[in-house]
Amino acid sequence: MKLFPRTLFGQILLALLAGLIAAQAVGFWLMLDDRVRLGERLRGAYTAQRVAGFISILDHADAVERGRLLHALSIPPTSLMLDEPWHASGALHTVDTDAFVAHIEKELPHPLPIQVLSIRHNDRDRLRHEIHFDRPPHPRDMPPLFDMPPPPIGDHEYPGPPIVFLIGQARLSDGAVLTFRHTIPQPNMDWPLRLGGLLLVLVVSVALLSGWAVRRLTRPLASLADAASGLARNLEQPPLPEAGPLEVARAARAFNTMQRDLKRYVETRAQALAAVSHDLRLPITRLRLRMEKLGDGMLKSQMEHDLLEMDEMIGSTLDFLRAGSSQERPVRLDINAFLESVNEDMLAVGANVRLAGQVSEPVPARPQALRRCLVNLLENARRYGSADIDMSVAETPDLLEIRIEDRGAGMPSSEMERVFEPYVRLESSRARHTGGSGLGLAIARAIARAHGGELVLAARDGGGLSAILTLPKASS
Amino acid sequence: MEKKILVVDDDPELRQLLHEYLGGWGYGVLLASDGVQMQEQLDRNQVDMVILDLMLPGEDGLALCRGLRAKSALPILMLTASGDEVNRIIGLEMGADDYIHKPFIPRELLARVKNILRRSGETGGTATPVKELHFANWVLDLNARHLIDQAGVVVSLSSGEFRLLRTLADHPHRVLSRDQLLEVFSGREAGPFDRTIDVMISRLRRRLGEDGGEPLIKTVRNEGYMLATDVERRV
Repeated sequence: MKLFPRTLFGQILLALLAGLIAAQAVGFWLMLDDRVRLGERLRGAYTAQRVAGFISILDHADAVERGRLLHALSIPPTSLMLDEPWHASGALHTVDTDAFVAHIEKELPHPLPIQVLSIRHNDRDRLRHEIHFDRPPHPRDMPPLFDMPPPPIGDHEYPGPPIVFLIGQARLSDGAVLTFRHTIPQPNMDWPLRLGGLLLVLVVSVALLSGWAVRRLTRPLASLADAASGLARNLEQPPLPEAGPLEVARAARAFNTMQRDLKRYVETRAQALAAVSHDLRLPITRLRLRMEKLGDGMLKSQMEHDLLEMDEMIGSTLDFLRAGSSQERPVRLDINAFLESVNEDMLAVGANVRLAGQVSEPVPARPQALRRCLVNLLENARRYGSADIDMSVAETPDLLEIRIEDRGAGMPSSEMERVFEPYVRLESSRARHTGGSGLGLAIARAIARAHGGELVLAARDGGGLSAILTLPKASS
Repeated sequence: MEKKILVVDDDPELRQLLHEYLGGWGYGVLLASDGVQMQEQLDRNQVDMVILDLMLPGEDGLALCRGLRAKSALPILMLTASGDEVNRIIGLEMGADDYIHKPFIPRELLARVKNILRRSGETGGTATPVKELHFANWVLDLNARHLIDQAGVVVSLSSGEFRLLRTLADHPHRVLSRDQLLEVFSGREAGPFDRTIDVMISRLRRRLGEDGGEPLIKTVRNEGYMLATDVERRV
């Protein structure tokens, strides 16, 4: 099963080659079979002529001459005998024997009774060691004649295996019975080297050509698959080239249309949410101004607090909607200075962040958005994790990895993906009363992805939670 | 003398509330709902500053802001409803003196208004807003609040570092005492800046890549610090 290719490329190529080889094999077999048949016919005709010649010569000779001639004519691959009786019941009637008999009769100047007693197709080795009959021998009818070894072929041009051993009889005009035994060498199934070479050339050239053509067909499919998997992360990815074979171009066009429609759909929804959030700001502003008319007091400060919370929810909703499609321009950012400044700002508001690691070169990034992303993660670590937070940066040739880790209670791994969904908060009492918009991680991940990077959560060795932000070093 | 503030906003209730609020703090408040009314008010009255909503029917706030700035140095406070960074930056480029986004806290609006009026009183009109400070091989971007080096690489600053550097760069070749520099942090976003000025100065020096040679930020013994380079202000 493992040999069966899983790629479309492999499967099409395999089907093409298998079909080609099968068709060629059948063609060659038919051709070879024709050759064999032709050879058989030629050899059959030759044997019939030869046997007919012998019969004719012996028929015209007198008894004395016959004895001499018999020896003279018994040269391989034919041996002749006159001392066998006529095996009346031994005549074979198959298509081959009848054709052979008819052929001999045609060659004779006047008709004589001819019969074939046995035709054996056998290979040389088996003939040498044992005698096989086409039918079971009758002890009465099958005297030692049939036990005699066939005459040697005498023609060393045919060393190949199968030969036909033929025994037949002719009743001469004077009643004498001439028994002839003849060995017809069968041709070798000599697979002609040239045909094999031709097949090889054909297979190789078809394989190369169809490989090229199929690769050309399947490459757009691969880019389609890439585009489809990239779509989930980035609706803004550039459209596919609508080129190539007609079907492929159509698929690419359909995909691009889908992407456009999806984008429009998402934009419409986002606009609706943005509009609502946006419009809420006016009544909140008015409320705040109205509250200024109230005297200071418990009620007023509580209402102010509620309004602040609403304000923050609206702010982070708008941030979330904007995070994926930041209008901020990417710059080459000194990550070391950037992380230090974030760290400083966090220290200034009382967080205890340890920073470790250095980066060797500037990285393309949107500083404001990236700051937002890190601050969200740091605030989460502070809110749900522990007082001490570790922020570290490491790099590979292509990637930058920023880790923000706490020593808090951590989070079940089943929740680590779910918390990235907007407005999802863990159902722990701690999370509920500490508030938060439920958008911090969603915003942070949207920002990471807009940078061509990724943000995941993982359990930290030794307890606590790790937020791992990876960013590409080259702009995507 | 009573300062006159012109509020341009399309929401009548908000206009009325701002009227009452700012009026309560002793300002004369004039109202306009769009660009046309704004022009009428400006023609009829001596106005000291304009509070201008970004989103207005007809000609929008940005266009009005640009138009006002082209004619006069009248101080402008933009109300950016969306809190959109881009609009904020464009607003400042269009010549607004400051911005505040809805929903603002009334006290903060009041603080901004006072601040703008005080500044315009000092300078006798609004100075053209500065966008960038160029000094040595550096650019300090005042909107994005970060440094840009010769190669275009952005070097981030913490908000404390930014304010410190900005203060030094606003007064080049002048020695500022630690107390003067500390005042920077007693502004509205005052936080627990327990770090001393000295620590922050040394970090700033590191940001500016001053590992050796003549330092940009000079220490003047027993007096304070000084930015020892020319600063070019660009709009």
